[in-house]
Amino acid sequence: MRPSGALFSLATLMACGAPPEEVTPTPTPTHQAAPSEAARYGEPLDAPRLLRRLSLDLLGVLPTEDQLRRVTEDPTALDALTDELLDDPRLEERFVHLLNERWLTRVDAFNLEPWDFGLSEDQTYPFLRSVGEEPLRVAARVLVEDQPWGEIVTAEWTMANELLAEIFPIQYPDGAEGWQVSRYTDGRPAGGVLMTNGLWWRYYTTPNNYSRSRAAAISRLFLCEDLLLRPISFESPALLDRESLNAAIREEEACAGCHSALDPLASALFGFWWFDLYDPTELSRYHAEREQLGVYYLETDPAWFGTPLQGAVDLGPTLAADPRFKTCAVRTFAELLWRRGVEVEDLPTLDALREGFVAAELRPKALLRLVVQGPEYRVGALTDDAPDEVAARLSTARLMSADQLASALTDLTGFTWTLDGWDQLDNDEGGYRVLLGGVDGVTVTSPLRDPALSRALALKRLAQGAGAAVAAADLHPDATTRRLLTEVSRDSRPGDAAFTAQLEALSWRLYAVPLDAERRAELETLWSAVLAESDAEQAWASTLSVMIRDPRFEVL
Amino acid sequence: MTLLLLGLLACVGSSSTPGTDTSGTTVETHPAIDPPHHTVQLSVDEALATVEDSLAVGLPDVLELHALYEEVMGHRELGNPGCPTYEDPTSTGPGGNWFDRGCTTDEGWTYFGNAVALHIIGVNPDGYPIDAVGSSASFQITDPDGEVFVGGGGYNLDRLLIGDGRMSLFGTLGGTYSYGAAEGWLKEGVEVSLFFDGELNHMGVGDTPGQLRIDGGVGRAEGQISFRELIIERGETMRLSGQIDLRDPSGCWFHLALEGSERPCGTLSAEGIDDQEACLSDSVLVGLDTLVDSLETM
Repeated sequence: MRPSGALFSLATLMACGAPPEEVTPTPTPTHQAAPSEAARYGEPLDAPRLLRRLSLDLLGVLPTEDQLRRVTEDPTALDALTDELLDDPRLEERFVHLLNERWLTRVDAFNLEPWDFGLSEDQTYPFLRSVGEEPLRVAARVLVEDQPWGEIVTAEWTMANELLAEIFPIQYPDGAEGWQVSRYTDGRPAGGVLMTNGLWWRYYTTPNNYSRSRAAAISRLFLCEDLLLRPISFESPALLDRESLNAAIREEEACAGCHSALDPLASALFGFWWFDLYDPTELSRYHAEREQLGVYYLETDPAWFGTPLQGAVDLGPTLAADPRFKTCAVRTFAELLWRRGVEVEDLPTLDALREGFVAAELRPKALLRLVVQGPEYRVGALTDDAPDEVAARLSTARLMSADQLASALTDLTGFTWTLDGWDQLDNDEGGYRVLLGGVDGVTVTSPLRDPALSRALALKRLAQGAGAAVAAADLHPDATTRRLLTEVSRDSRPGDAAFTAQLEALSWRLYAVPLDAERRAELETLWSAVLAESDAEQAWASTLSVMIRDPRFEVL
Repeated sequence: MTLLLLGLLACVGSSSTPGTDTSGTTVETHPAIDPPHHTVQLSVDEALATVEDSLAVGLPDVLELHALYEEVMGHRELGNPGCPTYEDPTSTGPGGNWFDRGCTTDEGWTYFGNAVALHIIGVNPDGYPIDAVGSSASFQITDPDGEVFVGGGGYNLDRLLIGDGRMSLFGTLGGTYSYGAAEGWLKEGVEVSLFFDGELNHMGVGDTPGQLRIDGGVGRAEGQISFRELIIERGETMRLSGQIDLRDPSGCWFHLALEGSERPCGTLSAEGIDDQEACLSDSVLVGLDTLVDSLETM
């Protein structure tokens, strides 16, 4: 059997097998000499650039000058710095955005709008983000508190802010502000994100779907099994009503392959069944009395891949106990941080990560640490003898995501791009999230991995705005603190020591790369050309804009 | 490649019991997932009392709800635009489609949301007299006293006179409804997902027992109950068969499988307790009797 045939058989076997057994594939036979370790994993980034990648991935900001100095003086300081980053409170916000690339709940539209709840139109953006972030915030809180990862599907609490506390039946801490651990008061069982309105507003079901799309979402998000990718072939019978559809699903082998697992899982989700898809009361409350409707609609009792469930109350704990849940967490973390899909060749690494994750009692920070310590994360270049497979698989240069650009530039320059209360880098109603390479969660579900014209255009405007803002602020005569232009005044000119020191500092801060003579000359020429037509502030604004648009800035 | 990988990745991982299958593939098995074992919090007596309390005010009645809706919409302000704004501004009755983000009539009624409702009385294509009501809605209507009628969901009920005094019916009532100024099941609010079908005797007169099947659930402050093919057979006496379930505060369910006798008795089961014979009070029959009476009147 050819290797690919064996893999196909194995995939089919696993796709159809009901019990959650696990299989480690036979190592792929090969007649070629195995590549060396260096060729297989590439060469890692140097310590400053690796710190830069870590800081952007974990916190969404560039490393400070002090952090860069520490790893320059002692590259082994990277481990301690990694721990510091993992303990930084900004990790929570960053993880919300990172995980959204997988869970896709930060969307620009739900079935309901603010006015349905008596909110004003200018609350649309916070309304959308509050609802969409609810499940992500639960996961992020589990992460920063380093609770066992299973908590994300078993917690008896949710995360809410003031807005959610106003529109949902939620008990929110008195006098608190912002995102807080909160509790639903409508009798829904414990189940972490599985029991959040935010998840099911995003993954809604329709009167003819009977929660199956939601069951498929659970499989995709928490087991990393996308049922829609299973190959099926069947002759379409006349499916005009619920009874004939259910009969076909049971009797057609091609249907049963998925639906034998999907429908019993869907049957556990009817507490979120809505009789009006646009009614605020229906969509806000959990409907315990509907938990058993799956038996009526789907003609099946709730079950988890063959294991009977009493209902929604069993869903989270059973999911957490499924070995695939742990494996999926490892894969999810790896893909998000490697910035690529995993391939067959990654399986040994994933297996090792999983072992470490289990040994750490499923603590998510331990998993993050393991992932970022691995060569797949740290790779910065290929060796000359790297085989084509390695070159195609490894991601040596990674584009900053839209949210990383936004948060990094805000931290760096103080610039935020808003319009009528909307963050223009975080929406696609009138903003540029997708143009910058982000996901909108519905039509664009994978982030941009390669440079694109639309991104270059959006980044150009962003860089111009950020450069102008920080130049104006830093060179203002009354400025008491400066963000970037710390070395120069309006009178500094190319050739001045201060001017040179400024360019060197900017290169180091923005790219974690020393300034070389060629680049310095280019920047000085640019600066002088702009000065000739304008003034020093504009010259610095333009220079900063160009430096921000430099690939060395947007690449991790 | 992606597809192959998915199958593999779904299953890769270490475990304690490796083995090898005939193709040489290393197969690692895990024990079957052991779902959590809960124990219900209510005692059997408490569970039965909760079912009785939940049914004491009667089951939600589509006809009663529709009548209330028509009464409330009777206070609409006609005109163009009226209050609320009807799709057909020339309409004068309570039926039809309306949408409004909040308007208040001179009389003091405030309408917010949207709804479409209809009531058809006529003859269906097969020649049977028919009485059908239906609605799909998402509204909050505040009366002049400040009581809010909340409706979100939909209902329909089709009743046909099919000869010999027999009536065939089917219907659905699903959604969230409450109105503090109402009496009975609607007063404290209810979340409902009921499905009806059956054959009854028009005005309760007939030689053959009427039969009504109910599926679905009802949730209110007292508790959440659910019916699984509950058959109400009403002749000289009333008999119940099928299953009535009650949700325990733990999230588990009690199941009462009724035996179809003249008393509402059957076998009660739940996680963590032994199966046992149990009976509901006969008062439960009264509430169901009231519902059947309502449905039979056309």
